Amino acid sequence: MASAQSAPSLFWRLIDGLEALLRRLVPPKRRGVTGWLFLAPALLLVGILAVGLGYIIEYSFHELDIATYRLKDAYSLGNYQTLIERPVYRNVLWRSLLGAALVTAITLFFAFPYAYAMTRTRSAAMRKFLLIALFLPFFIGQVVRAYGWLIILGKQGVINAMLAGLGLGTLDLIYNYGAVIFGLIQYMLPFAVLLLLPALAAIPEDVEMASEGLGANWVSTFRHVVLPMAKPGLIGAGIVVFTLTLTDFAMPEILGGGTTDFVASAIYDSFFQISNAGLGAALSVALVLIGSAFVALFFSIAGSTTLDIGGEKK
Amino acid sequence: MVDVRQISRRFGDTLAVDDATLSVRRGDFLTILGPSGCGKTTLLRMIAGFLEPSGGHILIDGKPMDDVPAHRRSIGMVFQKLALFPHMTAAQNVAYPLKMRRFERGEIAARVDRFLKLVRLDGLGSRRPHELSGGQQQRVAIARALSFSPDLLLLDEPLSALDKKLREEMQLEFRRIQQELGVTTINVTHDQREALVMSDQIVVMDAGRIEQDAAPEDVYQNPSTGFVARFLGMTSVFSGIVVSQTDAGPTIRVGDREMHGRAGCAFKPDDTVECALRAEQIRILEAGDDGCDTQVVATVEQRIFEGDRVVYQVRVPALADATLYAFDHDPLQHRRHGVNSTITIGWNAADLFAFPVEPAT
Ligand SMILES: Nc1ncnc2c1ncn2[C@@H]1O[C@H](COP(=O)(O)OP(=O)(O)OP(=O)(O)O)[C@@H](O)[C@H]1O
Ligand SMILES: [Mg+2]
Repeated sequence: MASAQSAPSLFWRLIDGLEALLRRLVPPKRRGVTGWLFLAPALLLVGILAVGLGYIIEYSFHELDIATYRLKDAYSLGNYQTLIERPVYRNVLWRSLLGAALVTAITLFFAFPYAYAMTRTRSAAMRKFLLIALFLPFFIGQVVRAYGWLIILGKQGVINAMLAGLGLGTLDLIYNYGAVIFGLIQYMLPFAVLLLLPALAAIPEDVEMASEGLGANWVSTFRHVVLPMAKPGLIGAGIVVFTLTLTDFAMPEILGGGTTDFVASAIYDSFFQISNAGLGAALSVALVLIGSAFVALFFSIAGSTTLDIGGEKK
Repeated sequence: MVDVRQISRRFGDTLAVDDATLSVRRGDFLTILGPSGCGKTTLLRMIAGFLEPSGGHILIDGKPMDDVPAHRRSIGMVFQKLALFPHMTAAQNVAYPLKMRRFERGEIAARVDRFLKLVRLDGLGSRRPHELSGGQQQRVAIARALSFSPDLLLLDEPLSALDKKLREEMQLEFRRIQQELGVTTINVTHDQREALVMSDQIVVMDAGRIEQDAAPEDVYQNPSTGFVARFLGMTSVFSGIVVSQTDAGPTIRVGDREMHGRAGCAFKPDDTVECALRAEQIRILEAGDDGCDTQVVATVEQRIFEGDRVVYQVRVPALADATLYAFDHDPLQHRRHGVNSTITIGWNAADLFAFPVEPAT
């Protein structure tokens, strides 16, 4: 102990030196400023994003001039009117929202038990296996994975080849809504599991045991204890999966084959196929607004008090 | 009321509980006492039904519990880490077992009130666990474990996280509640004071095995193994060789001295034994004072002031340099033996326990 006192380790002397230097460079009064400095890169990024969004909003108020293929100078709500009037866009929006809702629900449904098993398994080997199985798909990009599904599910794909071999005829497994939803779920699952893991790991096993000891079977324990305690994780994972799905481009393009466009495809087409930047911008703004509205809705659900087991309302 | 019969539990290579047998009478307060990692929690969880025993049986009211899942046993448990439901208020926590057991609404409200009052938390029912102090959370956990009138209450060191003063308060509180309700209780602790203060019956465990099962005073005054003697109280231990054995007890040679002792079994001459002496049973003798069966001269190695008493750590050359601990409680004498001073200490034959040397584990 005495030696530690007389000769502090080199590390601590370095730290002391650095701190002294910092004190000299940044007088205590200015300390508040340094905190903001650390935030600067993030603020800058958000700022650039905001500027970009500003331009998009500005574009969305100019209609396309068919004569020159330029945006007109005059401001108008014409693009938004088109969105509302043309059934194509309503369908695309509806399809995207329904898809996002379906994918979110089904993904969470499958991710929950996976994450739960990962936090509760006693076997280290099992946990490692589940973790690797989870991370492996991350190394394969979304586009590659979508093509992988084409190979398996396509007209001449593995499954149809097998069916044909058995003399059962072939099935249309791709280029439809189901295929897109399937591909998206498969893509979102690892994200959802990863976001659920910390929330589920934070539920002590003791608490579940306590519930069981107090007379709850596992269904009640799940409903009244595990689920409410996992709620923050579920909300977080739900928001991420929902927004990622709502704005997804590759899966609907590749597995939908142009038959089941999501909003992102429609935006892409407006900008680059029909060169109508105004309409594309209006679609983008609509997407941002609707997405934000849903996130706000999720948060308001999270904000409301946790499951009340009936009664106790005085 | 509760019968644990030859129960064992294995985790991989470790035998966490090894052939444990014990029983509790209805209304009694039994404490399982043992060092950290000796298998107390494991034993308790098997009784509660959270863990399957690897062998043996548990009977409650004579009924085997082998196929009864935890939620069908009528057992309230307070966990080592409390395990309150953080998303529910104190009142909802207490109401939880009642709702799960489908008590009537009116009955639930009445019981929640009654049990919050019992643990002196009336008025705090609407707070969440994180808005309560450690001691208050403790009380919620007790109320929750008791509100449905379980046949058996299990306590897994619920007091170990509290500071000393609060812990001692809660010990008395537990005892009060337990006696008020007359609920059969199995408590687990590594705190000997807690065990002695609270229990009707103490089971001392070491390394998964039960060492002694007796009333608190018996466990303290008649330890059945060297481990129990060492674990309770401040005990000095040294080894000796049996010279002879009479009905009164063995005569033991330690270093250059022979002395009488007391033992639970009969030894043969030349047996190696472990001798144990409690610090409070060693007297520091003044000149001319010779009321003790055995007296030796010792050198003070350390003097530890503990407020209400002084602990002397002394070395005794005549006993092969054994190290002994002695208390000096006597404030009237204002004795002050410095380090390296020489003192005379003594004890009575009835206070020297001799145990067979345990095989090394
Ligand atoms: N789930 C488990 N898997 C593997 N080993 C376990 C498990 N639970 C307990 N053990 C082992 O069993 C032994 C007894 O553990 P137990 O928790 O019963 O001790 P304890 O007496 O309650 O200790 P403490 O006073 O520290 O709470 C320890 O060696 C522990 O490492
Ligand atoms: Mg324990």
